[in-house]
Amino acid sequence: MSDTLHYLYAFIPSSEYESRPPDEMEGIQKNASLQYLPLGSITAVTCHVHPDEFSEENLAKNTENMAWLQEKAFHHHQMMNQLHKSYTVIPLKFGTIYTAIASLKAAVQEHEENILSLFQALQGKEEWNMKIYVKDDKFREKVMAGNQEIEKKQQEIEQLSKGKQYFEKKKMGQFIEEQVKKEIETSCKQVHQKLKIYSQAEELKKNWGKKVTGKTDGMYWNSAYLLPRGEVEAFLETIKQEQAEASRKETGLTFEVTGPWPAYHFSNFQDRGVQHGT
Amino acid sequence: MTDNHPMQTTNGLVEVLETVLDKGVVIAGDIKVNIAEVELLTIKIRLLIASVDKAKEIGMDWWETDPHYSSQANRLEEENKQLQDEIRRLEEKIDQAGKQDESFK
Repeated sequence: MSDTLHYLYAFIPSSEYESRPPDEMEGIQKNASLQYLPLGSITAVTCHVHPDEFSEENLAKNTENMAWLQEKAFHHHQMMNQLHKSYTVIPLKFGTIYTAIASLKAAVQEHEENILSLFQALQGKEEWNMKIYVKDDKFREKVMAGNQEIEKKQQEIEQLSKGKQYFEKKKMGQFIEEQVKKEIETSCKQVHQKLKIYSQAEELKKNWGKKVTGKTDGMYWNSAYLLPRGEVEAFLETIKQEQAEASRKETGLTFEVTGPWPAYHFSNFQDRGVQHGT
Repeated sequence: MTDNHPMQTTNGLVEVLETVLDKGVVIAGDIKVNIAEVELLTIKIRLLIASVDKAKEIGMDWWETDPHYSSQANRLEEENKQLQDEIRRLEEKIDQAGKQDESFK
């Protein structure tokens, strides 16, 4: 095995790279800086890495070491953000590594058409993510308060025998939880619809559990938007207004926005491409 | 969200891992990398952070001196246990999924 491997971060357009030479930045390997490899119209952003850390065998061990993985994943993220400040960026997934420049070149050649059309689609755009956290007891109160059907049903249950009451109450509880979920989803969707006006593509993502987020409020919405730069301000302002209204009305909704990100969710040229997200 | 540019600088742990490890363009490299499910990784990393930072925060002698800290520690211990259980559950799930889907790189 050669003693240098090539870690691939991203593709940027060579024309942008030439007109705005980058500052030197330290790579994912200590004391190695980012390399820019022009391959025709596409410039690959890479870093030399050492097999001690990044050979298949060592990488497998390292990705099980949470301290290592966290540090390197954050580095990957930060470098991508730096690049994204100056260039149109197609971000690669963490851990794309080549043993030789020749095979990197071959990979670029293979995907050249896709990469070039993505450059066009992503130029001047950035990705923003929104998550909505909800205090669901607020919604539970609302569901209970406004629902005569539930009230009536509860009175009926009181008339039943103890054994039947148990099952009926359980069913009732499930029904209420379903209603709560529906109500929350409706509220989140309304916001999403308003935000879609500004985006060119969007992706709905998985909601994370509380064990993952470490928050007491549940996550009920998680989405990514591809926004032209000119629309970002209006997009953020919309969320700001929604948050202000939610606070005023005490609906229990908390909005969390992150960005600008390179278009991680809208760069996958292997399937449906930019218009539909990944 | 607190001001005009909400949370532009503080992308949370979950989000960074989710995005960087799970999204972005996939093209085949020469080196195969198998990264576990992000949900599992995030929990593991949270555990790691919890054990280092929180332990410092709580101090060494909490269990003898201060009932407040002691209850907090119990809560952490409880959470810790829950997270460990969750990891076990996810790992089992991944094992099963892995058997069905050997082709994923």
